[in-house]
Amino acid sequence: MLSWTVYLSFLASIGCFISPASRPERCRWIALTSAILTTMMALRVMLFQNPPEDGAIEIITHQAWIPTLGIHFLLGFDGISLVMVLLTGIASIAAILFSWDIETRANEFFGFLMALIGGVYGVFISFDLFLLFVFYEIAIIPKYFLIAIWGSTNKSYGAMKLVLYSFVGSALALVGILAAFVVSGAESFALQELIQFPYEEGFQRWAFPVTFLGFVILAGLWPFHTWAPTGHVAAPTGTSMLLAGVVMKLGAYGALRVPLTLFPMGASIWREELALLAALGIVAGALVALVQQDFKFVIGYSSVSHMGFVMLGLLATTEAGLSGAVLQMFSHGIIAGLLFAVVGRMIYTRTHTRDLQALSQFDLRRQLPFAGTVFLLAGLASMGLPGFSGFVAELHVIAGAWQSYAWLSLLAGLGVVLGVAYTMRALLASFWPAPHSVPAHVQSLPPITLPEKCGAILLLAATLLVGLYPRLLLDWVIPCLHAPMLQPLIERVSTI
Amino acid sequence: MNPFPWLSLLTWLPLLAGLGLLVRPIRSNRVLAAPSFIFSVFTSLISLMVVLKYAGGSETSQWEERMEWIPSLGIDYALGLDGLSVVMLTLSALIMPMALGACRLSGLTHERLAGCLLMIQGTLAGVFTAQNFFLWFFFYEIALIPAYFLIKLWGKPGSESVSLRFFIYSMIGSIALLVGYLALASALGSYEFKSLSEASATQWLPEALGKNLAWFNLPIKWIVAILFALIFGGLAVKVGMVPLHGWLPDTYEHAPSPVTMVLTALLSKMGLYGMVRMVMPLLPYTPWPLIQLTMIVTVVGLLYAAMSAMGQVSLKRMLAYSSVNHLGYCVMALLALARPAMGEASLLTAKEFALGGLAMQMFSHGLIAAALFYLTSLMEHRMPGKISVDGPGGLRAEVPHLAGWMGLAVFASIGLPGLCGFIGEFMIFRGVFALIPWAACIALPALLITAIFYLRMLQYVFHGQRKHGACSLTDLSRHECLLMMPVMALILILGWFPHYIMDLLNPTLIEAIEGMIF
Repeated sequence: MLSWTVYLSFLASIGCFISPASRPERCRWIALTSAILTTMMALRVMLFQNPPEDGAIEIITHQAWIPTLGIHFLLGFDGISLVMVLLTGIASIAAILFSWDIETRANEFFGFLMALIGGVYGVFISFDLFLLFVFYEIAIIPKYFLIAIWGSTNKSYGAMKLVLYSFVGSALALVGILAAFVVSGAESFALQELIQFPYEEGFQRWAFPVTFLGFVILAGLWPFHTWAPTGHVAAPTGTSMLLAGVVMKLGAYGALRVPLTLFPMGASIWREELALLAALGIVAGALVALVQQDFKFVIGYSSVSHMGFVMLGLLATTEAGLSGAVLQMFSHGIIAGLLFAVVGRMIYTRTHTRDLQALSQFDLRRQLPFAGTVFLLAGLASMGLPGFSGFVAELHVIAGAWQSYAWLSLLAGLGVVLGVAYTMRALLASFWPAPHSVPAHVQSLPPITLPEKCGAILLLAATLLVGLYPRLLLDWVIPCLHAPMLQPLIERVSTI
Repeated sequence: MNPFPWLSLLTWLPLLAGLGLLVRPIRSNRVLAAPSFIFSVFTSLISLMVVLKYAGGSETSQWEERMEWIPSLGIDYALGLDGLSVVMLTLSALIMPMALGACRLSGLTHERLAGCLLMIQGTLAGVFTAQNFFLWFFFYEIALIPAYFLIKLWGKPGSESVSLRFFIYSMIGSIALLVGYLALASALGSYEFKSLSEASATQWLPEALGKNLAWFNLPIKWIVAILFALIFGGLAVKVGMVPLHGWLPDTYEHAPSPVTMVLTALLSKMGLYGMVRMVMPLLPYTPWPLIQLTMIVTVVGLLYAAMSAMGQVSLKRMLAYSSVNHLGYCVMALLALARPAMGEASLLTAKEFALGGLAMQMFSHGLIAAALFYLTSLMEHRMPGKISVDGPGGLRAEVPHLAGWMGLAVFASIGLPGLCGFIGEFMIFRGVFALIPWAACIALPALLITAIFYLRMLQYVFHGQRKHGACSLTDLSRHECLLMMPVMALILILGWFPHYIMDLLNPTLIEAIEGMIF
């Protein structure tokens, strides 16, 4: 059933492409229906199935595709995949709702958007590494068009940079995947078969960093993160939400599935250096966010900072760290989506400026009280206040990091403090400027529309629900960490 | 144990009700202070009922509620009561309705203000009953949000930057605390406060730290010192201890007085309460030089706060510095507990005095500070603008009742025997003198200084001739008197019968002292 998330999204994509450009509402409804249906599929599994206690992978489809090369069309899911699929579903519904106002070439816009979503779903449920890679590439192409055609602010530069970084990353990842396949001499690209093979330490020593870096370039690991802020800013709102919300997660998810799972020995050799980069990314992203004048850049750099937590959690390679990383992927997907929605759609399309100084002229809090409340709550969630999903996630990550690298968790703590500072700065400058800087007569802005309200409430509900009852996700994630697949990784750490 | 989750009710009912008031769309001219006041009184009555039932019971921890919450970190949703929790719960039950009432009396009737205060009431119940760090921190942080908005939106002009400073200071403190406690918890493998104190009592703590947190092969002493610095420092921001008090005087001055009541009487107590729960078990293992250093900073700081209070012109700033000074005594008592007793009976008794004094001082400072700021808010309502300490003069003739009650609160704050402020301070000094004499000696002049600036304030504000403007003020109304009666009565009663509170506290405190290994 879950495989239909992929098929349906691609069908919707084709449906949008072939519907006439003069009927934008038809494309919107096609996209929205497909996104809601796919989310329901994920929710159905999550709510009505019991998580398997051994964390086993449930295979949905297994068919030979290119048998001579051992490539299969192998779709399946485990708890971690399921969480990511659910995130994709929620984020895509919200992204479509916040793209409701797209009128120019709407058929193509939603066509590309659904193709992107289909590719993302594909990555999360592929258990054949070649197939995973194919979906990973499929997700890159629509991003380029979405930014280059419908974007703003330096769009061709942002689009090109993003695509070049993505391709460099995926080339490295492909090298790692192919090397793993060739060296093992296995007859299949299936993950479960590749993990059977004991790779030599000398091989893992170089294969791990190559593959890992290949994937995490897309997750915005500092200092390879510079595509992220420019890309996020250039992209139209719905696309920024998906870029920060789920596409960056592709990199982190890939890093967990491929290099960390296949090369645990390599991981234990390199993890300290890489974890340092992740922690530096947390602090550097936050520091840069603190001095931005463009509101969207603040959010863009905050994504880099938050993704640092994901990678720090992954590299802590403890149970708490890994579950924190998965939670943070979910949480950041939701919160970043919300922040981009407020800045890019609710504010920018109304005021046509994102300069923090200029925004203080609009008396936004009184004109757009709904946007103010949403941004306040999203900001609190982004700061990691208890009650929101970000807190549980960052707590897991820091707890996990304490066991592995004490000093890095202090750096991560500093990152949280800086996170409070930049979020407050942006919040105060945009919505609560000093009273004297607000002119007596402000240009009136159109009110918030219904699709925007629905999207914002959906995302807020998701972050609160997970924040208050994280077991919703953790019950699925934890068994996966005990599954034999990740055991070599976690055990290696505890024996050091 | 008990079928009905009373403690959860006490926490979530006001929290959700407050939240409800905040998200309701604003319509003009709708004020809702009266229903929310009644709601707050109602919640407080339930708290007091719980307290009375607790007092009737025999065990030290009662009313436990437990549910699995985040199994991956071993965190439960667990609320419960012991002696200290009960006393703090009583305090918040007494103060919160008074603060809401004071808002109404001083013309602050916005329903969102009431909503914020109700939220704080809920989170306080959560903070004082949470059984593990995670849940405790959850409420501790949530309390910050309504407090921030109370200061920002209803404060005096200029409160924008003041509230931001309050928020940033608090968050930095919280993160230091969070990071520090997470290290401790990941070494112990548990977030429960109880397992921390057990690990301390059984001397398993250093072993666990050595095994699980061997950073760069640091000696255990150093690891404990780092954890102590993070946790104590983080909490000290909330208490407003002197080098970290930069947010406090401005915040107390700019916030509306009923809000300041809550800030000083209750929110600062969250920090002290946290110290008793989290820092005390660490004390036996903290290197002695670090304790001494912290002690010097504390006593010099409280002396400095007393002297600063003397130098203030604004009445509210003076009260703010006086609060810093009074809470400094509590921290001093806590640190004195680190002195090894080596089984010596006299030192053990001294420790009981110090810890009992700490708890008593927390309670009585809550009552007294609330009374002082309550009366200040009434004065502000009558005389808009800043009230200065060398002030209008001659108010006693115009408002004899207000002046009389102010006098009572002031004398309680000075620590006059027979009023409740005396008990706590006496017990603290009795304990600290035996444990760390030099600290008590340095702190002692602060008592005298306190008397000087308070009496001077009484003289210049209430006695003598009215300096300028002979507007006639109205004296306390019946409502205003009635609202402060519970607190004033307790200030008087506890001065003579402290055992009402001490009986609640003692079993818990003695358990805690005996739990400290030396």
